Amino acid sequence: MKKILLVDDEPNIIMAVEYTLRKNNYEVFIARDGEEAIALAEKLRPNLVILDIMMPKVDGYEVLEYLSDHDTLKNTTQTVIISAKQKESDVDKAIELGAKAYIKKPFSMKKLLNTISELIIQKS
Amino acid sequence: MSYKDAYQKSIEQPEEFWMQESKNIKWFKAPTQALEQTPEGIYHWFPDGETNLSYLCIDQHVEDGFGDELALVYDSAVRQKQVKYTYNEVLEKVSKLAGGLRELGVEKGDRVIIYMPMISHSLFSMLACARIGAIHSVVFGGFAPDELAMRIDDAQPKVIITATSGIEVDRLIAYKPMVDEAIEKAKHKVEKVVVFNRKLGVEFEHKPYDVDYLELTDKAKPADAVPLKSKDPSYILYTSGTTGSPKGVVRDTGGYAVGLKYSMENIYGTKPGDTFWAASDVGWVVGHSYIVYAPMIHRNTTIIYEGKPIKTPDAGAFWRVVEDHKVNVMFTAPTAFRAIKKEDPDGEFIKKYDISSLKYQFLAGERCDETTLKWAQKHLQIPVIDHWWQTESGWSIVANYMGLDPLPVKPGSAGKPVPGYDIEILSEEGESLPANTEGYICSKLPLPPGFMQTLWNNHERYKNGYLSKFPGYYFSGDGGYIDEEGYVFITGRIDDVINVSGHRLSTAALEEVVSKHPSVAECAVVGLKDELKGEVPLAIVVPKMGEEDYESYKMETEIVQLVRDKIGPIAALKNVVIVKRLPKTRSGKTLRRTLRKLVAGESYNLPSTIEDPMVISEIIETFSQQKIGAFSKNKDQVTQSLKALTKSYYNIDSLAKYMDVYRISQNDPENFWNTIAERNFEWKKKWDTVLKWNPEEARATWFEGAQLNITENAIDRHLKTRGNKTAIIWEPNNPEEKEQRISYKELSERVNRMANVLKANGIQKGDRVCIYLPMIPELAVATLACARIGAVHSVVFAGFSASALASRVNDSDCKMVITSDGSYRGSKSIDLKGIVDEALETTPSVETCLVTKRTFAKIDMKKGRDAWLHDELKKVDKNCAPEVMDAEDMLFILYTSGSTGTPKGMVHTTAGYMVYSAFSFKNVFQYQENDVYWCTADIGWITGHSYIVYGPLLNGATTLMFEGVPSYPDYGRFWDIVEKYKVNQFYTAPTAIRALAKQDIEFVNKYDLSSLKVLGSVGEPINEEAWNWYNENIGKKTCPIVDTWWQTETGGIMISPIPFVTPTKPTYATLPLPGIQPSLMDEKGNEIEGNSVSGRLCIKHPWPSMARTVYGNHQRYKDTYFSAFENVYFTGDGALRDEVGYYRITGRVDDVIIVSGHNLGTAPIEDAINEHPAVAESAIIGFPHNVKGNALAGFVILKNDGESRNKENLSKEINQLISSKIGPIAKLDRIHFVSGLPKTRSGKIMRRIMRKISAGEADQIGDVSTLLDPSIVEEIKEKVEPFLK
Repeated sequence: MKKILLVDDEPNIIMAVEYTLRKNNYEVFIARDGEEAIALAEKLRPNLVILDIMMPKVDGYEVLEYLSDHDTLKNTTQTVIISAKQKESDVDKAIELGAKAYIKKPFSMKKLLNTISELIIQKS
Repeated sequence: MSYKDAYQKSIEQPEEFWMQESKNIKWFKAPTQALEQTPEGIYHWFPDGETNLSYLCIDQHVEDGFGDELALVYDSAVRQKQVKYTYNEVLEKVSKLAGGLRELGVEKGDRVIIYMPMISHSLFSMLACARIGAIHSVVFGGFAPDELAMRIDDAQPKVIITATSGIEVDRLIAYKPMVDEAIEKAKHKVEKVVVFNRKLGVEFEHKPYDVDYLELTDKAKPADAVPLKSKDPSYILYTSGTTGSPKGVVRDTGGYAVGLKYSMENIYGTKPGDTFWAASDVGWVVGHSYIVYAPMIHRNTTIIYEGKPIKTPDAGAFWRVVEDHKVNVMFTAPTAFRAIKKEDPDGEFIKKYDISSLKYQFLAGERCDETTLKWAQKHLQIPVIDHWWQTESGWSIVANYMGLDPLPVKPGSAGKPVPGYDIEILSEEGESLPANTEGYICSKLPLPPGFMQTLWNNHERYKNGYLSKFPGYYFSGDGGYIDEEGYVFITGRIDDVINVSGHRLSTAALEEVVSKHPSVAECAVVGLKDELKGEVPLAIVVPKMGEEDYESYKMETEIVQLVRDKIGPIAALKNVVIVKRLPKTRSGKTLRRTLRKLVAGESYNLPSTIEDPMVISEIIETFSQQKIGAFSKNKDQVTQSLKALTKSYYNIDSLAKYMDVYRISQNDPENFWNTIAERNFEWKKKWDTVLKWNPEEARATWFEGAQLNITENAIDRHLKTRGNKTAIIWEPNNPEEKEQRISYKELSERVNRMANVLKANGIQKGDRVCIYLPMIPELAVATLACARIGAVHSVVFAGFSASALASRVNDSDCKMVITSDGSYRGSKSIDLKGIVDEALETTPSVETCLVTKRTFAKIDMKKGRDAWLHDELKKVDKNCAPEVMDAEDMLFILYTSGSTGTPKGMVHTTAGYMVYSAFSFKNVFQYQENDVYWCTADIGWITGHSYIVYGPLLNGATTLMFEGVPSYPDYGRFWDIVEKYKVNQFYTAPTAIRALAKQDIEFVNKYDLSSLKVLGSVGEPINEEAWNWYNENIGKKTCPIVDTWWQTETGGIMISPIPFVTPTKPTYATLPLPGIQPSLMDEKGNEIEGNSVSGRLCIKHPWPSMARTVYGNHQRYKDTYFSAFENVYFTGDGALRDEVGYYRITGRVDDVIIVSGHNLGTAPIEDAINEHPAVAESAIIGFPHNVKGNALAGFVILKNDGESRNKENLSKEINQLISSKIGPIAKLDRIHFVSGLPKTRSGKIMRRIMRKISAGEADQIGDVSTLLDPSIVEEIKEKVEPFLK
C-alpha cells in the first residue's frame, strides 16, 4: 500500500482528503503543520506528500525545500501542492522547489486523486 | 442591521455573529463557546449550552404570560373540522404524552418513530419526544410498509406513535396495518406502538404491543422539559437516498433553535403573536421546521392543515384557510401553486376570500418557475418570495429578508445566501466559477447553526456524500449559478443536465423557457439519446386546462421556436410531446429520471412515492404513438416498458396501490380494462374497441372484435408451467371415500374428451346445454367442455325441483341435459335422474340426456334419449381444439329468481366475464402460487361459476370442490377439510357460519386451521355476531374477512375488502373493486353524494362481467336493471356509505328475500301458494332468522270453503306445493291464516307492515292511515304474536 503524508492545518480538508484516500486504498498520515510534516516524512518515508502552503510555524515552501534537498527523500517522495494561493508566481515557485503538481483550492477530490495516481504510476 | 452587513459579519466572524444571535432564545445554561469540531469532523454549535425545544416551543411562553394565546390550529379540509389549542392546552397535551412515553420506558436518546397523518397529535408527539430528550423520527404518513421497515431498522426506535388512519381527499389511508406490516418486516423489534384512534369507524387488529394514545395520556403524570445539551440530537429525518438505504439527517437541539428563531425574525419577517402557516406535511423538513418548531419558538400561531390545495373542496382551499385564521405569512411549494393555477387560471377563487391579513407568500421545495411566480404575484398582490433549502440544512440556505431589508425579487432566483453560508459555484474540477456560470452549488465549512450534524449511524456516508467531493466545502448536490449582483439561481439537481454536442444544458433552464408558452401548464425536459449530438432535449408538455384542444402541432412548433429564440439553436429542441399529466411523487417532484429511462428504453423501477403509476402508462402510449426515443426502433418496447407497471396493478397488494388503481379505473375505465385484459390473458385476436355502451338500449359490448377461448386461458396456457399442478381437489361427501386430485394436464384431457362427447352428440357452437349435476368433478368438467366448443352452459342447481328444472330447460331451449344417476348429500342419497325424467316430460327441445354414474342407483335409461357418459367418453379422442369465440359470444346462462314470475336467465359472455372473474379472484383472495383455495358454494350458483371454476382456474390456482354438507358426518367437516388440504383461502356463506357457530366449539378446536390466510363470506351481508365468531374461532383474529357483495347479474365480486389491504369493518363490504363505481340514489333518482348517507345502490359505469341480457327477453333486462334510474345499473339493494366511504349493504329494496344466501322472489312463491285450491290470496315476507339470516312467513287468505280445513294440514300442503314448484329452500317457516292483507286503497300490499310485525317491531309500523282497512293490522299482530316468543 502506498503511503501518503497529508499536510494541512484545516481540519475539514484533512477530514475529506484522508477519508477519500483511505477509501482508495492509500495509507494516510497526517501532519498539521510544517514542523510535524518534516518529522513524519523523515520517519515514514512516504511515497507522496500532499502539502498545503499557508501553515503555521514552518510553511509549505520550507517543507518542500527540505524534501527536495533530502538525500533519500528527493528520490523516493513526490510532492503535490494544494493551496489557496492562486497567482502564477506562487505556482512557479513551488514547481521550482520540486513540487510535481500544483492544485489550487478549492479543488475537487477527483482531480487530486487523478493527479496522485498518475504520479504514482509514473514512478513505478 | 442591513442584510449586507449581517451577511458580511456572519462570514468574517461566524462565531461572534451566532453567539450574539444565540441570546435570542432561552437557555437553561447559556453557552460560553460558539463552535467546536470533533475529530470526526462533526460541528457542534454552542457545545456547552443547555436548552430544550419543547420548553422553547411551549413552557417559555406560558412562563411569560402567553398561556392563553393561540398556539395551534388544526384545520381539516377533509373532515371539515377545526380545533384550536392555546399554549396552556398544548402544554398539558404534550407534558402528559411525554410522561406517558416515559412510563413506556422511553428515555433520553431513545428513538421514537412518529407515523401520523396531519393532525395535532403529530405535533404533540414531536414535542413530547423533545421534552424528554427522546429523538423522534417522523416518517411521512402513507409511506409503504417496506419503507417504514427500513427506517425502523435504521433508527431502531423503542416506540412508534401512529394513528389508525389518515384521510386524503376522498380516500382513507389505514396507517395501523402498515405499521403492523412494517414491524413484521423489520429486524429491529419495537417495544410499543402508541395508537391514536381517530374513530373513523374502522376496526383494526389489536396487537400485543399496542397502547391506546388517549388511555396512555389520561393516566400519565405530566413530564417537565429536561435540560439537553445543545448538541444532543433532536430528531432524525429520513430523506430519500438513491442507494436504497435511507439517509437519516440528524439535527441538533440548540443550533437548530437559534437558526429557526433567526429565520422567523429576519427571513419571514414575523413578530410574536402573528399567524404563520406552512402548508406542508410534518413528515417533510418544512413541516418539522415551519409547522412545528420555528413558529412555536417564535410564539406564532401555527396551522396544521389536513387537506390539499385543490379538490378539498376546490382551488380556493388555501385562501379559505388564510381568511379563517387570518394568516400573516404563508409558506408552500410551487407545485401547490401550479395545481391551483391549473384549476383556477384567472384567480377567481382568490377573489372570493378576504386574504388581506397575508403579508408574504413564501415558496420552496423546488425551483419556482417564473410563470408561476408571476401568476402568484399578480393574483395575491403581495411579495412572493422563492427561497431555497434542503432537508440537510433545516432552514434556508438562500433567501430574501423580509425582516432586514427586503431585496428586490428577481424571478428565477431564490435570493441571496443566508448569513453563515459562504456559497461558491464550483466546476467539476473544483475551481471557483465566475458570475453567471453554472456549476455545483457549494458552501464553505463550517455551516451555520441548525445545519445537520451527520447521517444517523453513518457518518462515513455523510462524509462521502457531502464533504469529500470538494474538500473544505459542503456539496449541495444542486446545480446553479450566481449572477453579478450576488443572486443565486438554483437550476436543479446535478443529474438534470443534458449534454448536447458537448454543451451542457440545464433541463431547468429549458423548462423555464418551455413554460413561458401561454398554453403550457407544466413540463419536463429530459435528455434523449442522439447518434450525432450525444443527447438532445425532449420536452414533455402538459397543456393548461381548457387548452387541451389547442392544436398540438401548432403548440409544438411554437415551443420549438420559443426555445430557439431564448436559448438558441444550440438547444436543439425538436421533440415536443404533449401529454395529459406528468409522473410525480406524492410531494410533487417530477420523476425526470423515470421519464429519461423510459424514453431510453431502459428498465426502471417505479418509485414507491409515485403519486399515480398510471401516468406512466399514458406516457408510454404517447411515446409509442409518436415513436419517441426507444419507441421508434423497438417494436416490443411498449410491452417491455409496461411490464413494471402491469405487474404492479393486476395484483393490488397495498392500500396505496388500491387507491391509485381505483382512481385510474375511475378516471379512465376503458384504458384500465384495456391494460388488464391485454397483459394478463391470451387472445387469438385483439379487440377493436374496449367498450361500447348504449344506455338507452342497455347494451354493453366489451372488447368487441376480440377472439379467444376461455378454456385456453383457464387450462391450456397453464400446461407448460403448471401441467402437474393440481387444478381441482375433489372431496367426496363421504370422508371414507378417496379424494381426487386433478392436475391441469388431467383436467385438460378430461375437458377435451367431454367436449368431444358433446360434439359427438350433436352439440354445436351456440347450442344450450343444461347441466344438472351434484358437486362432482364432472360438473366442472362439463361446464368447461361446453365453453371449449362454444356451447352455452346452463347449470341448474341440483336441489331444484323437476318443475323448476323444466322451466329453465324450456326457457333457453336446451338441446341436452347432463345429469347423474343420483347424488349424495350428507347421509341421504337423492334420485336425481328421477327428477330429470319428470322434468324432461315437458321439455321438447331436449334431444340427449347424458348420465354419469355416481350412486350406482338403479335408474331408468330412456332409449334414444339417455346415454351413459362413461360409454360415450370411451368413444372419443382426447384432443379437442378450442372453438374460436368472439368476445361477446354467450358463455353461459344462469337463472336467478326474480321478484316477479318466471326465473330470469342471466346471460354472461366470454371475454368480459373472463377478465373480471380472474381479476377479482386474484385480488379478493390474494391467491399466491402454491395456495389451496376453497369455496364451499355449489357450482349451480354464480359463486361456483366465478369462484370455484373460472376465477381460480384462470389464475392457475388449486381449487377445492366439496360434494357434501357441513354437518356430515358431523359439524367439524369443514374444518376437517381445511386441515386435510391445508386450505389457505376459505369462502363460504353467512348461513353456514351461523349454523356452525351454534355447534360445540370443540368441532372447530379439534382441527389445525393455521393454514388459513383469508376468510370470505358471500350470499348476504354477514351479521356482526357471525363475523366475530368467524374472525375469532376460524381466523384466530389473523385472517382478514372479505365480506363480498355481488350478484348473479354482476358476474363477479363488486364491493369487498382486499385482504391485507383494506381495513375490515364488520357488516361492511367496504370498498368497490377497481373498475366498479357504486353510487347511491334517492327515490327520485338523484345521486346522493358525500359520506354518511344511504340510498339505493346503483353502479354507474359498465363493467366487463355484467350480465348482458335476460335470455330471450331483453326488455325485461332493461326494465329490471336500467329503468329505475337513468343510465345506471340498479342492483335492487339498499346500502349506506359511512364516514370514510365504506359501503354496507342493507338489504333488498324490492321484493326479493335472501334465505340462506339464496335470492328468493316473493312473487313465484305466492304464485305457488295461490295454486292451492283452498287459497284465495297470499303475501310472503322475510323476517330475521338466527340461522338462515332471513326466513319466510306467508300470510294467507283462504277461500270460504277453505276456512273449515285443518290449518296444520293446510300448512303442510302449502309447503309441499312450494317444495315441488320451487324447491325446499323456499318453504315457509311461518304460515298465518288471516282474513285480509294490509292493502292501500290502490290495492298495493303494504309488506312493510307485515315485515315489521314479524320482526317484533310492531311499534315501528308507522303511518297506517292510507290503508283500506286499518283494523287488519290488529289481526295480524294477534296472529304473529305467538311466534315471537
